[in-house]
Amino acid sequence: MIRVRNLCKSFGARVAVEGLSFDVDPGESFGLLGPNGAGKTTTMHLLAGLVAPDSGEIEIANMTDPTRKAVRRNLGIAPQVLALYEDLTAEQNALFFGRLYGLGGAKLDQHAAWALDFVGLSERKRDPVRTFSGGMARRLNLACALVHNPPVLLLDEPMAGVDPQSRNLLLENIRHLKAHGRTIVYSSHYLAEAEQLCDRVAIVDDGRILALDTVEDLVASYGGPAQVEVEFAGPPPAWMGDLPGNVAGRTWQFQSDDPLGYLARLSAEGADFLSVRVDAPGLESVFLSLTGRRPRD
Amino acid sequence: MPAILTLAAKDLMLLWRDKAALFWVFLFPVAVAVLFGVMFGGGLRGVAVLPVMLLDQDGTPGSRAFVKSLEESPALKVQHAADLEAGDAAVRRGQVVALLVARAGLDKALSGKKLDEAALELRADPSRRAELGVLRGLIAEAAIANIVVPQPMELVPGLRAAAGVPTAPRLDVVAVAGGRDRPRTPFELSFPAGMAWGLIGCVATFALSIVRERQAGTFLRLRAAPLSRGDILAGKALACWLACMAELLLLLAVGMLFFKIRPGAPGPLLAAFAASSAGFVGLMMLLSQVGRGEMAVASAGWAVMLVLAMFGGAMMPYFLMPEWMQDLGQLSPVRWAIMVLEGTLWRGLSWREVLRPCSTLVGIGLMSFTIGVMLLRRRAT
Repeated sequence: MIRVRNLCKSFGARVAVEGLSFDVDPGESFGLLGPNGAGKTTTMHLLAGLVAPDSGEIEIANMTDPTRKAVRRNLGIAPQVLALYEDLTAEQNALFFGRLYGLGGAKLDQHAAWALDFVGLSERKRDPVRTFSGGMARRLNLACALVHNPPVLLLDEPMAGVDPQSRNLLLENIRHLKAHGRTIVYSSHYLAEAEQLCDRVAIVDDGRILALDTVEDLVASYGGPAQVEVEFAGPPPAWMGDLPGNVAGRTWQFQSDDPLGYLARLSAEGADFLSVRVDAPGLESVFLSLTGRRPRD
Repeated sequence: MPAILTLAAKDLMLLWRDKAALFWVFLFPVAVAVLFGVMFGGGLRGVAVLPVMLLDQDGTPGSRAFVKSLEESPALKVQHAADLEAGDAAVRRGQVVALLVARAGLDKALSGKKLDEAALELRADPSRRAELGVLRGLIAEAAIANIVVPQPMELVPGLRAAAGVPTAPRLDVVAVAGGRDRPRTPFELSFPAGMAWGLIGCVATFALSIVRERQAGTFLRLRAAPLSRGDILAGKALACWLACMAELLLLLAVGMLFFKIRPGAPGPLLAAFAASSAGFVGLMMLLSQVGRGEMAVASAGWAVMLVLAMFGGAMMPYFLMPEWMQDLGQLSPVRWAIMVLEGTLWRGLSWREVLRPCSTLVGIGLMSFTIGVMLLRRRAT
């Protein structure tokens, strides 16, 4: 559905995107993960044809040049900034953006009503956007991207600054869209969301892709061992000196690719656990391993 | 640091980093102060000049000397009319204050010391009373200077009056102002200026709306839609043009309903409205690009519009301005808008006569719109 090759973009001396290449299959949910300034938004703008690349190729739905109207009809973008008219109502915003994509009459009304209902704003559709909370405005931002029913969605930090309730609603919305075959390109620096939503993830930093794979494979390749903390009910067994990690009092901390193996052995030897905590590696540790910092640093 | 000081320091830092805002806050007031100083302090060629046309039908040495006296007056900018019709047309278009006709017999009247019989005809727009008052004085001065009188009268002050020589020539004043010799009410003069200020308000409002769209991100969503950049800008321009037209029509309706304004032919009037609106739409696009932020564009927009209004005659009578200001005023759409609105509201300008100001306004609009679009494109890339 989307094919990107050697995409480069600089703003003056600052390189925003440097040689990006990736493919997104139809119906796939693809994540661009990276810290602020990594080049995610620039990549989104390049895909939407909002800025011209210095070099490289973009192909969407078998068409090159995303500035073409035919390409743009296939795209829905929810920008990172809340691109809404605050003095208009939610419904007026949805209808306006629907009209821009050639919808009209009863079809436009149906699409706008569906989009507002989908994001849970039907009851507030006649309220001006300026009266909305950040989370509601974020949901409307998504509705305006959906109103023309595009097969490809570009969601740039769609959860930025939203309350937990809206976050859950948005996560549910995006899962639903994915389940119904939309191709989604999703950018975020919230790794937990990406783990839940994305089929494949590209870790981006300084405009370059550092790694690209499924979440499981990225974790397997770059996540490192699990962090385990065990608290014994009594004194730790004397033979524990053979095991890796540190013992302090009744607490044992260690790293392992096979934590359950160690725990099973301890259990078989009659160790009595008070508590066990296993922090399995995730995208956070993948990111830390690849960049040496956390995505929100 | 106390919170208030922290907040103030942040705002001052933001101001310091906004070069455009800095210009409007600090440099522009200096420029205005200097400009007004020059205007009112007599600097440069700081003398107001009245544009007049002359037609010498007498063609005698006396009439030529009279014309020369007027030409040498620093307070007049004299042009020569090819004929009566061309002179009248220039008066009607507001290009000159009056057409002064030296009729046959002027020389004879001057040499016969019968100034009250001087064959002078002043064909003028009677609405320009203040300018005509100044002009009458200058004509009298030139006429008296060309009367042939005995030497003692030249040498002894007051002897002319004692000898019964008139101190002012008689002027036959002929009103030249389309179908009407004067405005029906003072509102026919004030409404064109009011309309121009309304256009200025539209420009400021829409220029700001473009900046707000850019800052709020809606412009980005518009650009991501299947629209060309031309579609988006044309939409903005159309909205601004319609708002300008609505403003003009509203003032016209108010003027007609409550202030006895009776406009001339509807065709030229609508053409004047359309062209004035087009001129100001172009300015709107240009002004929306003079700064990045809302504050910068708001300051710049109003500052520029005030200058254009000042040079265009919306803040002080055009004839009171120094010649250099009047020349610069030709570049102000406010000047052309007031001229064409006044002309069609009550002077009864014809299609042919509105062609020049209308095309000038459209030209200014096209030029500034093009520059604005170029700036927008440069910023977008």
